[in-house]
Amino acid sequence: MADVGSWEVATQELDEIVEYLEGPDVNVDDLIAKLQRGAEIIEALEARLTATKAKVEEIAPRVDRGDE
Amino acid sequence: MASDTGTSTDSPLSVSDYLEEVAVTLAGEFGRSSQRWIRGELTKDPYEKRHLYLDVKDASGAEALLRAKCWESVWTPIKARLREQGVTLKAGTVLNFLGYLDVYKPRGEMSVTITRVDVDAMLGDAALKLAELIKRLTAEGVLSANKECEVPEMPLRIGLVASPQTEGYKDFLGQLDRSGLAFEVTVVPTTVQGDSAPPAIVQAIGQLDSLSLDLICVIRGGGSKADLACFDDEGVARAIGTAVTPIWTGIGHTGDTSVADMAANYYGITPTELGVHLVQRSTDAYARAVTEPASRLLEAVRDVLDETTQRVQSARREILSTARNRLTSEQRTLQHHSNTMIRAARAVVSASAEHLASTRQLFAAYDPQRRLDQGWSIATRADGSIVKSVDQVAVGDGLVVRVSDGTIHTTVTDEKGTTHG
Repeated sequence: MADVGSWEVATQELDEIVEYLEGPDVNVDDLIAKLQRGAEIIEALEARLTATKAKVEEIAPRVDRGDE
Repeated sequence: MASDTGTSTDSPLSVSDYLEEVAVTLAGEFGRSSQRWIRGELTKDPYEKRHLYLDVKDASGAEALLRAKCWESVWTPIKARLREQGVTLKAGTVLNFLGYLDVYKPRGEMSVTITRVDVDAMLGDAALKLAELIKRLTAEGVLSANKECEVPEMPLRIGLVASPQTEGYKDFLGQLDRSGLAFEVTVVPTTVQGDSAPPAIVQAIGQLDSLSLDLICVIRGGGSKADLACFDDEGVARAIGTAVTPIWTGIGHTGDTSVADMAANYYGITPTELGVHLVQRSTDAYARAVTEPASRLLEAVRDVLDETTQRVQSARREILSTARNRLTSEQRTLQHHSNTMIRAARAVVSASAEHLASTRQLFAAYDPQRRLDQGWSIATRADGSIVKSVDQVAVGDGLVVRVSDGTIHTTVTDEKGTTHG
């Protein structure tokens, strides 16, 4: 899995890629590189999100006690 | 009748006979059948040994002295009644009595034998004296002075004027002991009955007053008025009135109010009641200073704990939903970015493809083959350059003519100027 840095840094980079791709100055040569980088970031963040969700559900029973 | 002059030849009387004659003569005028009411003041404390012996003089102060006696059978009931009313015979006491005169021959003395005492008159005198005392002490401020002394909210250092081993003493201390409060009691054992009591009580009050205590208590259990008479003593009242320490009294039983009680800062109707009052005051002060604030503090702590528990419960509910919502939100954001990125990439590719196609069509419009197919030909020189003007060739030059399906090699035989057609 590519190193995408912290969540904040990664989402910031992703925002920039999207902004670039939606902008007027994109060219085909850069397109693949940017798309590739965007895909890496999304995969990394999704993996992190999945792990976090699993951890949340693992902790949940300790937080959400039914007797109170 | 004998003459006061002459000789003793007329058979003088013996002393005994003479006294007998006197006795008989007096008995006729002052004897049992001719008793008189007499009013007199005791010159000194009476002597009592079963019977009562007393010397009386004129209350007005005139020089006149009379010896009197009261046989036990008469004295005992009178004594009981006087005692019941708190009256004791002592020097200065004025009494009205009925009696007869007789002569005590062995000593040649004349005295009155008392048969009745006007107790009512005596009590009236005693009450009058007491009222006068109270009036005087009130006018002087003696009865109100100690009430100005400030009693600590929680008096714990107590001076006690009392007679140990008495019921009143035990009752009073019992109340203090059972309270559980840390009373420090300094006792000055004092006799609280009889003529020696007033100076002893005055001395005890003075001794305790010098110790800077919180409070001095003077107690004495129930008894007859005579037993309690020492608390109507002027000296005791003045000792209370001049003390700088507040003095509380608990004297006698219900209904007794002594001058000492009147002079006191507070008086209980019994030693027990005084103990109860003292304990209650200190208990109330303790409650105000300690128990009630502690209770309020505990209540406040419980409120904080309840509130905190509610917050924790609320946090439990919110933290999970917030975490889940945040994760869902992040996932949606990622999905949105992903979709946007793909869409943008596809749009770029599509736009590029369209541009290429357009260019390709443009290029196709300018393809020479297309012109050749339409019947046009292209002449080029040996160097490959396209001949666009007659000026570019000369007679004899070799040319290559390209047509739709091949090339024709030819030579220039003539050249003519501009003819289009």
